[in-house]
Amino acid sequence: MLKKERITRHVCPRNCYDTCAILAQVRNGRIVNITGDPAHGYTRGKLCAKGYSYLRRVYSPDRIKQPLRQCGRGSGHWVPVSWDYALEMICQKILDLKHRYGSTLPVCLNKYSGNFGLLNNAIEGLFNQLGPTTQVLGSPCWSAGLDAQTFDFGNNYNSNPENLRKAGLILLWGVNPVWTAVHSLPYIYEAQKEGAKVITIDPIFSETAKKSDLYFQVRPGQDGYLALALAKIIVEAEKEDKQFLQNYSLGWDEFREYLKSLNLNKLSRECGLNQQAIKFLAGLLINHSPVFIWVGFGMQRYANGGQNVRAIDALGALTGNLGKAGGGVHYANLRIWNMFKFNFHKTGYKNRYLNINRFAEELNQLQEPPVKMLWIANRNLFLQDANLRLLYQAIKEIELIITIEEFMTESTKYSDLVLPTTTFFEETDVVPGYWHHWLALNEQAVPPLHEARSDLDIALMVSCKMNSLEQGSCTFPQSGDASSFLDREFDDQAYSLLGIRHWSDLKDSPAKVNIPDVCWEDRIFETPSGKFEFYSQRAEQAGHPLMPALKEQRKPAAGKYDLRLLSPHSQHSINSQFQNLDWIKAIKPEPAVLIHPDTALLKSIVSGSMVRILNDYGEIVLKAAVSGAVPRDVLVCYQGIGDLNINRLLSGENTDMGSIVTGNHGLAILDTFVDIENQTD
Amino acid sequence: MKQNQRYNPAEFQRKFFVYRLLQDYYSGCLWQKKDNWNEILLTLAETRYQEEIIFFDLGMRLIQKLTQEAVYDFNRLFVGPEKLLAPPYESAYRNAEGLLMQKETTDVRKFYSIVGLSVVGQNREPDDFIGLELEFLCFLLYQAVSCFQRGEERADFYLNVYFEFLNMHLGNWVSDHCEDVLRHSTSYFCKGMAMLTKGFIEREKSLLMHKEEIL
Repeated sequence: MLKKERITRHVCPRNCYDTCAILAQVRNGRIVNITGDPAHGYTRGKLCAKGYSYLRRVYSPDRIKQPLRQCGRGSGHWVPVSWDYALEMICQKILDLKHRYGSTLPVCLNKYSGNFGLLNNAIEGLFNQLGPTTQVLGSPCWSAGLDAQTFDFGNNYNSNPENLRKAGLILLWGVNPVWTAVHSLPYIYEAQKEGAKVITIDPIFSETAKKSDLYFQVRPGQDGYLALALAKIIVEAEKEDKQFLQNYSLGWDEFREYLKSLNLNKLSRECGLNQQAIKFLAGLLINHSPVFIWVGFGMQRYANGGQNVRAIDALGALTGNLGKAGGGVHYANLRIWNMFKFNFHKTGYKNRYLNINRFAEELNQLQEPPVKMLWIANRNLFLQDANLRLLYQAIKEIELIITIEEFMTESTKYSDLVLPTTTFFEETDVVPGYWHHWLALNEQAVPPLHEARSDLDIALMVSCKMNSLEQGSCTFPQSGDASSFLDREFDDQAYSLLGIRHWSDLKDSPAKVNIPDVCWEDRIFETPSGKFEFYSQRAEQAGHPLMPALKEQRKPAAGKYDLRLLSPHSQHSINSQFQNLDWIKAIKPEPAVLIHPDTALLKSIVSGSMVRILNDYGEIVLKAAVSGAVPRDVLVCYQGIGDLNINRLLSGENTDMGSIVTGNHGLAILDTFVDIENQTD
Repeated sequence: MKQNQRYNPAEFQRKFFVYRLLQDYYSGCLWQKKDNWNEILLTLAETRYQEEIIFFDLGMRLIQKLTQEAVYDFNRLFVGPEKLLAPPYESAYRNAEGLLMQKETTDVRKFYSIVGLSVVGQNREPDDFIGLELEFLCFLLYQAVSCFQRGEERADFYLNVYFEFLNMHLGNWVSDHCEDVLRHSTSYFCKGMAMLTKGFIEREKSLLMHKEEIL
């Protein structure tokens, strides 16, 4: 047999800082190997363990291969059905509901970030062309921080993170790149080699903390207090950047007065660090330049999360680090996504939007009309949502639940119909980064396996079927392919930013987007004043204090559930993604909750004890691991470990900010309070 | 080609019948023949060989009723969406990493190409799906018999490929697969079909020693 071999270009579409470029070696129509793509300037030919496991996702015998119908929700009694049967079932239900209720509002989509390919948004496009539908709006992940930076800077931009190498001081604030953004490490190490100090600020003595020069253990969610304490000390020493503050900031005088009014003892007590330590850190900030502050997502997943980020932004501004190569306060970058117009996404209908972070509650309360059909896309709703007990209640009234998936998940378990979908090796799409400044292409390397279909193909097929049953019932296109959709998304402006003539040029190499390498270098901000705003009228209009405020933290109810449960991302999964992949399972440590030695002693728990973690929302049982890496009043249980569903313990409380950028406030995931009991006896 | 005493047209008819039955079973169309099940059982009973192995007999007893539970059990074992308890693919058993579409699959593909066959939807559907391997064996045997009846030399060729494929592929993993079914199945029916499959293929494999005398 003549061997036909080619190399195809890919990019990981997971919700991750690194968005790595991948090469696939394709022999006679089959992928035989996967490596990193050295043409990508940021990820430079390397992948993480998850990335290297992708071959398994394509060729696992456990993939969902054909549409499957469950006879009795949750029964595990599945039967394969044809695509035509599945489409008929879906479309008849939509039309039936439309006729029964006089509107398509009973049809609901719950979609989030499982795939960040541009065309993975096709199902949303489909829903937007069915009539007014019910959809979720917002993000459980990063909303508060996005709003905070919008108030301060006017938008969400970062510098090209390769600038880390130019830093004199790196503050890894609530971020654990050693586990969750491994491709940034070469740049951090390069800076370190050139003499930069690397500091981790985190409630958990993380793997990143272990590799840093200094570690400061801040109390969970009290990062804002630390930032303001540092600001106060720096201003009292008159080491602020007066030139920047005078020319490029709004509300500095008010902010300085505000800092004066703050009590250092209180700030120190609240952030959990003694004054000596804070002063030492302030000294480093004064004596090293530029300072690159990487603000992680964790610190803003609290009821005061947005304020935490605003306080850190202010610290970065007053030390004169904004707009400097190797300096600045970096959270996320929306510039590359904003290149696209999402033409296929637009709607002329007035949808009914539910808060993604109060989905169960709002679903339960909806009347006139209630939701009767739920479509889950790019999401493992039943594992990643909050207030799950209420969610299970709410779905009882729903007549049809559809999930698009590659593998069995907790959400397919509660679906009536599961549609098999392609991996990114079987479809054409582009994936923008939200941290580095690159855009890369997913070429179709192999035909869709089994009967899998891409999100786009599913949307096209549904539109066809809708129109065959009732002409004009869906205005989403009924034909076309990924190429024609991408042609419409890339305009001249995008091509000029990418320096390519056609998106297919990305087959030759991923493209670095021509956006400022250093954000805010011109010191022209996108705020109403054009300046960095310590003092934000927009914030006030949105119901927040004008300046970064010391907002009272959410506290446990007295005498009950007095331990805070932190559930940060684990090394080997992204939320629940990869959790069910056997290759990843094989290298993952056994699930365990980390507990401080003093707390463990008090509760008669030793490493290896089986413990029950509980609150009013639910409970989980797992092993304990006694560890000095966590504070006394904190338990740590990483997301996506084993088959555990940590979100059972989430109340669904929201963060303080988020509605400006994402439409709703974020999820205060880390404001979760629990008790722990030894189960061993 | 020498005319052999052992050649028994009826026996080959029965083999084709069993192969087709197993193919239908694994490709999920057996359920459509529910109404004719008793008829099928009768025909199957006639396929009992003289030197019958115990597995085939036991299997026959277990598959008397085709129930809805068996359908669900079948899907749990071979279809999904949960982790498959007995994946119906050769590579799931023989690839070191349990991956589909690897060398094990293309080795099977090469066998198909020897007689000019290829799988519809190549690279979408694994060539080493048990249903396809069964279909291939049935095809080879049918060709061998047809050529034999027409007095064509090529009968030997088909028979050689038949035994080579049995020996190198299906016969090499089907026992492990059937053991998995017997371990995980919750229905008499699927357990019975596993016994029948195992018994049938093992007997076919055992004929290798006498392959010169078969036709």
